[in-house]
Amino acid sequence: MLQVILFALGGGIYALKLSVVERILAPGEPLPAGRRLVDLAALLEIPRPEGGQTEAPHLALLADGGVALSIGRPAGAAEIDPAWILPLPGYMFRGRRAPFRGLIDVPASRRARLATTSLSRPGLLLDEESLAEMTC
Amino acid sequence: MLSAPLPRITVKAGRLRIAIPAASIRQIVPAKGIVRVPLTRPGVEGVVSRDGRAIPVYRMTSLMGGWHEETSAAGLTQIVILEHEGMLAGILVESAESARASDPAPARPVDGRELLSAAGIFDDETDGESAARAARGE
Repeated sequence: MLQVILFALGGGIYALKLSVVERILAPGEPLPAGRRLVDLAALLEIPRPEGGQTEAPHLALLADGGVALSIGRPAGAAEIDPAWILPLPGYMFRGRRAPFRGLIDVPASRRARLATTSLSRPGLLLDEESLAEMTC
Repeated sequence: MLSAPLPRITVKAGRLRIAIPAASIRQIVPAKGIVRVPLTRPGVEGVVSRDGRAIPVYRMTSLMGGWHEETSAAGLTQIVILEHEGMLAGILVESAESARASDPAPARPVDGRELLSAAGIFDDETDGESAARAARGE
C-alpha cells in the first residue's frame, strides 16, 4: 500500500507520496532557510480563480531538493493500493514528460474504507522527480 | 464483386458530423467523470477512467483541424472511445448513431486511425506507463 497526502488545487484533487514530504507548513508559517518556494499552480499552469482573492496556501516541504511546494488546501491523507494508479498516456501532454505518476481511481467498493472522502472522485498523483526537474 | 461498406457510426458536435468505422470504436459512454489534467495538448478535455485505464478525452473539433464551430460543453453528452492497436482516445460528441445509406446528407467518412493520429497517439513513445510502474514499485 502507498500512503499519500491529498490537497485541493484549482478544483482538482492532487496527491504526493507521503514519503517525499518532510512537513506541511500552515499558511503564515515562516519558510525555513534554504528552501526555495515553488508555486505548484503556476508550474502546472492552473488558472487563478476569477475574483483574484484566494486563501493563503499551505506549503509542502519536500524531502529532497530544498523545495517548498505551494500546494493549496490540504485534503487529508490516504493509504492507496498501487493498482489504483492508472498511468496517463504520454501522448496527451504537450511536453515529453509530465509531472504525474497517474490518475488515482479508487474502486467504488473501497472508497468507504478510506479515511478521507477526497478520493470519492479521481485525483492526480504527482511525480516528485519530474517536479524537481521542472523547478531546477 | 462488390463488397459491403463497413458499418459506420455517425457522430456530431456542433455543425461537424463525421462517420467513423464501427470497428474503430471500443465503447460509447456518457460524458461523466472527466478529470481535468494540466499541461495537456490543446483540445484535451481531461481523462476518464474506464476498465482500469485512464483514457484521454478530446474535443472533436480539435481533432478535425480546429477550424470548426465550437460546441458548448453542456451539449457534449457522450464520449466515443476509439481504439487502435491497444491505444485509446475518447472524443466528446453530442450524439452518436448508426450511419444510414439513405441519409440525404451523409457525414464525412473519417478513418479511426486518422482521428487517433490527430490526437498525437503516434507521435511519440509514452512514458506514463513507466511513471505509474515506478509508483507501484515495479
